[in-house]
Amino acid sequence: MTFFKASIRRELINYHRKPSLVLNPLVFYGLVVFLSVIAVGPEKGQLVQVAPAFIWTAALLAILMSADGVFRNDYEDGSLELVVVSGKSLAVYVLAKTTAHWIVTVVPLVLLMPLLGITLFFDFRSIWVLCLGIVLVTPTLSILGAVGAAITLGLPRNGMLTFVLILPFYVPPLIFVTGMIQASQLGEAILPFVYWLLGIFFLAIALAPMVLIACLRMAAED
Amino acid sequence: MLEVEDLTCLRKGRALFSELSFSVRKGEILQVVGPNGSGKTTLIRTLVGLYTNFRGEINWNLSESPLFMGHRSGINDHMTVRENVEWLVSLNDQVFKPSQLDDVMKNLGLAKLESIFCADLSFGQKKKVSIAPFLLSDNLCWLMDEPFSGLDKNGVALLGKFFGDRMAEGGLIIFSSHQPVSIGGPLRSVVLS
Repeated sequence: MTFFKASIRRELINYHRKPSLVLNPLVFYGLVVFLSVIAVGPEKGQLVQVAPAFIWTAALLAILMSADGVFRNDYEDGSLELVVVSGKSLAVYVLAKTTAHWIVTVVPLVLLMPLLGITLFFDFRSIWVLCLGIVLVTPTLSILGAVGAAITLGLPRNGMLTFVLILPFYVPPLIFVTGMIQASQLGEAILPFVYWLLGIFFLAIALAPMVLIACLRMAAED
Repeated sequence: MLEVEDLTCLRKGRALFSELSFSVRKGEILQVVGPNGSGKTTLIRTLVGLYTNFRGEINWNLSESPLFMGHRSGINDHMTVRENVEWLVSLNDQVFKPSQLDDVMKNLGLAKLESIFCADLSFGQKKKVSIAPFLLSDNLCWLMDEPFSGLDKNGVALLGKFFGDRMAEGGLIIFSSHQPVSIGGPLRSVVLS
């Protein structure tokens, strides 16, 4: 537990000292949504129909982009080796990493959501559902993003590889979270989608650490 | 204690060293000597389990994992000296009083640098930061790769003295260095060619 706390603290200090890690994905997210709105045109009826699609696509890419770097710094400065040698649980380390990443990417996204929602003519209920969707789906995206980062760790210039490997796994959460918004706009129940998203999250958090640990060990060993 | 039997490490299909056998007991210090590229780093990494392409037997008889200092320091440039030391120490489950930390910092000559970002430190000062967790730990087994490189004269003497102290407490230290080092006590060596 103390190791978990110390690791989380270390991560948050790092994000605090390098605000670009938090701001870059956020700016990217804002810009993609903004450009899409300009491309579609400002007609209310049309926007409400297509807006969820690009809101989620942008969020997904922003998170994957920022998750790509979660282990890089530790790998390069040698801390990863020290964690592996220390005999500390790598699962705890990985959990601290992804939790911190989730906190710093999701909180700004949730704060930005009402603003975006209003610009896109969403009603209050839809904005609420959007925020709920963000909170439900992003932990899964963070964890899967970390898997991508760990797999490509140690490969020079891995740019697109993470995207190609991980984007297919982003499809199921994407389908259910967009479905949730559409259901709420049509006045249908959103609860089934909530269950699905939670189910996917539990599946990810149960299986991903095994892959993560194996990849990190391999990266530390070369 | 550590027993190594017939250890052969392969790198890119070529044997770095072969059929190496030695043992180290508590209260002993072993220096790994050899020219550049002879496999000092690989030997140390193999002993801590960070290199697995080897044949032979390595038997550790220890209750806890050894403390390790690698080629890369494990120091985060965006954190202060104090934050780095605290995190490195948390890796070893070590509990210490603030006064202990202050003492160690003073000993290493880092007292005035505690709240400086590690990015602003020199190579030698960073080396001292990565030595600090060793001095705060009760763990008596140390494996260090080139701990003396980059240290100034005082630093070398100081680390030699720490080695001597740990040995007297029953510590087991293995380190690599291609320079002769004096530690105020007997020093065994393994020579790689």
